[in-house]
Amino acid sequence: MKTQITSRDWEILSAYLDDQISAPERLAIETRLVNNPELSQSLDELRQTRMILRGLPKLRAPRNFMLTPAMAGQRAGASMSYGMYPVLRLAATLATLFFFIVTAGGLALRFTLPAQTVIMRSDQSQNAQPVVPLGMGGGGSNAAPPLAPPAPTEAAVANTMEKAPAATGAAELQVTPLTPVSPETNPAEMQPGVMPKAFSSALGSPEAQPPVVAQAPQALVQQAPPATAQPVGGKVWVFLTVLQIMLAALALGSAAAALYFRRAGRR
Amino acid sequence: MDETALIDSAQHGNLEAFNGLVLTYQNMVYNQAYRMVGDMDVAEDATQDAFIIAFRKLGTYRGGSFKAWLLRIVTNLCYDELRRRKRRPTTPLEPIDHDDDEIESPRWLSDPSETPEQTAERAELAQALQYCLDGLPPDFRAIVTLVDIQGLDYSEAAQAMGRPLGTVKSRLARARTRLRDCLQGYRELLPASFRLLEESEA
Repeated sequence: MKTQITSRDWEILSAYLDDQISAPERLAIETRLVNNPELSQSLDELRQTRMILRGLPKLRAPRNFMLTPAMAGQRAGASMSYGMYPVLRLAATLATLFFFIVTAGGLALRFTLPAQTVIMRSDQSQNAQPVVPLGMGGGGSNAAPPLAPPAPTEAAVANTMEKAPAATGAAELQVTPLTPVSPETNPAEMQPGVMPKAFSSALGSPEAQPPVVAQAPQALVQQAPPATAQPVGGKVWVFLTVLQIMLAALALGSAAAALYFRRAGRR
Repeated sequence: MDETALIDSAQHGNLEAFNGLVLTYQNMVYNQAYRMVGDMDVAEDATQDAFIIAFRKLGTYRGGSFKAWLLRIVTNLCYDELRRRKRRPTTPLEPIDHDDDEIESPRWLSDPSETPEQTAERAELAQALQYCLDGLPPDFRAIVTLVDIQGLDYSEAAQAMGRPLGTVKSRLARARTRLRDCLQGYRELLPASFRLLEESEA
């Protein structure tokens, strides 16, 4: 009786030839091959077919198939664009990196400098003008210097202005932590009860007022950096800002150029 | 420069690097094309087109076997050619010379160590096999060429065909079976060495 070899059998035989079957499948087919000569003959025929196929001569290409730039559709300068891409990519990366470093440095300066910078008003003729502490960026500081008296209440200021009209004419009182101090204000006309408590304690007695009043601005001036501090700080800040803009522009520009060259390289 | 470096460089538009790859694989691609279409001129065109397409589509190559990727391109081109051929009169199987005479024993088949009779036998066997290959459906022809002639393993063949591994296995088995049936008619052409080797392996 002739055994019917199914398409599944052929598939297993073919995979068996190529050693592409699992171990259980291998065991099963080897058992069947031993017991079934027709199956074994079919395997031999397949093996022979495969040998004939593998024995076919390998053809040599009749010519070289290397591409010319025209065949590849490349534009002139494509090789240059290939060389430019990594350079521009590196430039974009470095510019981005430096941009973040400069930004972080600027932020660090912004948070550390305001407490140290005290800037005098530009009007040096008004020597007794109050000193206003300013932070970086022009913002006023809420923290008064240690020697500054607390701000007088509105009522106290009004009272002072009533009792010392001459003084308000010479130097305008401002509702700032330091405005009550004015050398041109006649201390004799000022009543101690009207003064803020801390200011009074600093003055001690009415007789002692002139020297103390003169000292208060002096003390503030001593604490403040030299008059050139404002321009230097401002210049640093402007420099950092300009640097940030330049780095950002460089990063964006080189990234865009790198992208362009990459696309040009691939056409 | 190794293959990976050449591919990477070619992916960035370096034609010189790509041509290095062409030199490495042109014989393989040409063989695949010829076994698929059975015509030297068409195979030559398909090979050239395959490399042009490969260069242009190199950005889509995402690793894996570059050989299989190239073979997939040329195989697809051959499918297109075979589809076109269905709508046109058939071309002769045997190569022809400039006078349109059939070349009985093409130059590429000659081997100086063989006698003229052996060369003639081998040529006849090769022609018979090509005839049998031409009789296979394109998918079967492609898979048997990839595995048995190009020497790809099943996974590479699956990548080159764009088919699952199971499909590759079953189609290869059916292709081999059909070729076996076809070659029954040319048994007298099979050299004795095949039979001896067959006996020793059995």
